Amino acid sequence: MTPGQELLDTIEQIRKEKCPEVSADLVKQIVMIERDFTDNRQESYKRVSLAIDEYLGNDRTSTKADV
Amino acid sequence: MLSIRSIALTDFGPFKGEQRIDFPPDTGVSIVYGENMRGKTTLLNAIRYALFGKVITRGATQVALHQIGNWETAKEKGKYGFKVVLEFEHEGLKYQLTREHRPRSGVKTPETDMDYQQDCFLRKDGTVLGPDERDSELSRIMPETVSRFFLFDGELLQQYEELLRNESDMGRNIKEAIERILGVPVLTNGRSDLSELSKDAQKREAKAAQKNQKTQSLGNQHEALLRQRDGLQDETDRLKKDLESLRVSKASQEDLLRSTEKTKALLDERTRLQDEITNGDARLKEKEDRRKDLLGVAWKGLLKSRIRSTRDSLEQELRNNRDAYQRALISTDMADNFRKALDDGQCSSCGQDLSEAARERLKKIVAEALPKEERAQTEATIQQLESRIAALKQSEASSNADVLEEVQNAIDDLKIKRATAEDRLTDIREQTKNLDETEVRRLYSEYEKTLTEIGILQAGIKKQDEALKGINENIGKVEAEMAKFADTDLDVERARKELCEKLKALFAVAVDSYRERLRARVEKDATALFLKLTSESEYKSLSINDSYGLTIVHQDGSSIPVRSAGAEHIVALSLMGALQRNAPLRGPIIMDSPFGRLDEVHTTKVVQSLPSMADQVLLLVYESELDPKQARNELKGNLRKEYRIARRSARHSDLEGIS
Repeated sequence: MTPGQELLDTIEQIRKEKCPEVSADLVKQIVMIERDFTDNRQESYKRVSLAIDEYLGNDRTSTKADV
Repeated sequence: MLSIRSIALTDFGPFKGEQRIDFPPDTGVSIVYGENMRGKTTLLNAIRYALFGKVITRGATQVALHQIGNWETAKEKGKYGFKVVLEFEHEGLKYQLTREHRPRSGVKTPETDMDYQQDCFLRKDGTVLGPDERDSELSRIMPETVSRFFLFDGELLQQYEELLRNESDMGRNIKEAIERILGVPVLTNGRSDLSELSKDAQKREAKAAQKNQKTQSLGNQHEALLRQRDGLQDETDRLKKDLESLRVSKASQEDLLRSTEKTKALLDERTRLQDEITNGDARLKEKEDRRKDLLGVAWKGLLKSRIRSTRDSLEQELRNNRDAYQRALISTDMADNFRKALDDGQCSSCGQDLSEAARERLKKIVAEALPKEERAQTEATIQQLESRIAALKQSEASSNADVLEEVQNAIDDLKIKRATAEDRLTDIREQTKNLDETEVRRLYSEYEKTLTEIGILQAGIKKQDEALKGINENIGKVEAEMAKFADTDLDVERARKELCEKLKALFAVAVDSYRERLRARVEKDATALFLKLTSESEYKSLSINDSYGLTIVHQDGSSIPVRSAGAEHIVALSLMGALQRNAPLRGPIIMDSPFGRLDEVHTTKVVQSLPSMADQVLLLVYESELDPKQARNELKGNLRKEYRIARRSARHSDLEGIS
């Protein structure tokens, strides 16, 4: 098993045990975003937010709410 | 995985003109031999320069880049500037990274970094990337924070030792770098992003609630609480940031303090000795006063034998007087009876007539009986004798020579101690005469201040966290109330919030779990490598701590608390190998003089293990550190290429391939 795969396996195992209702694909997608943009936090935040929006079936932009 | 194909240097350090090293695509070890001051570290720095635009010394200090260009080229041709071209492969793609420093237009003789301009180009499969994409790509392929695990020098070894000190801030920094290479930030960053998104979703939920008349009041309340929480969170974050910066200060202060430890010890000893002398002087004065008192009566010591003999004779006289007094008392009692017998002419007890002889004896006894006046006089004489004897005894006691001798000895001891302390003090004064004591004292005082501030901040953060907990409970209650109302927009935002919270919780659990797994794997792999590298058969394993520091475990189960420089080196290499094996981010290991601290047996073992530590290894060594024949014998088919740095002059070295 490659070290990268081990990371995915760890989180997948926990997902199955603790929150199986959460999409495995979405979790994997977030892991890949964080892996690719570890040193670019702004980008990772933007992309994770977008991934969640897409998963929830809405295309709103994921910028922070104007509070 | 990053795999270097070639390095081309132009006028970089001692490497005059263009010099090049090629690496074969196969996995294995390449070696560059070079004696001291020929340019081995410069080669390591050339790779660092290409990747990060930096050149550092062993003390981790950045070198001014205008000093990097080849001196002879500048002198002979008036040509300034330098360049490194690094060709590498990553995930099946070919890259060419060019970084160059050249004088700014109009500058003929550059003298500072400002006189140069830097150009950097990254070609990815033949296409030149834009600056942002280039930086992003480079930071993905080889983040600077983890470069220490690939560009390996003596500095790293010292840093590894810090990992054994859990409380050390330097150790914490290295731990972060280790976790970076092992991929932990993938999860910690995910947790952090999801936490922010979760907060964002709560705000959206509040907004949605405010739009509905039924939930408007709850929405307002919710929004106010969120705002309050954000304020508290901002303050907590600020405190945490301050704490972090104080910890960094503490780490650098500790480094400085370590370098002034000897001075501080001398200064402390000086203070201690000064106190010792002051206290000693006070005791000396006390003893001398006592001696003076004793000397006031010391003359009595000279008369001691005469006093004694006088006392003896007075005591004899006293005894005689007491006996006489006793006898007189008895005689007086009896005299009354005898007088009656003499008057009656017969014994008062038996009634017989007294003979003439008996009458004469009785008359004598009666005559000896003391009259009352004389008895009082004897009593007075006895009292007088008793007080004279007591006075003589007092004189004898107050002239006690033993006490005087004891006091004199104490005085001598104190004087010897004082003289010793004075000598040592003079030595210390000599050693510290050129030291900036104020600076040393200031450092220690600053350190104390930092520790106090850290304590205050920690207490403040704890208080803030408690307040945050309270607010979050209230937010939960309001959200539970809002959940009782059906509203499409509210439902959508609530679903988003709930998903974010679930994901955040999932990532939070994964962080701990992944860390635990990693530590176990790193410990296992480091132990396996360590057992291959060490020549000590009684060592059984390595044990890992929370900071990834490794301790050697003896076969009897005990830890080896202190280890030699060589052992430290072997442990560091074991950790490095284990990290490489477990890191999602992989690359070549480039080692600068890695065998300097090792004996021949360990050098052989390390060389044999190199091919298993990373796919690509580049050794920068001097020949007495690793003999080329030994390297060939040990590495056999795993030895890919050999180069030698040839000296042309003090400022000119050439790279030559060894066939």
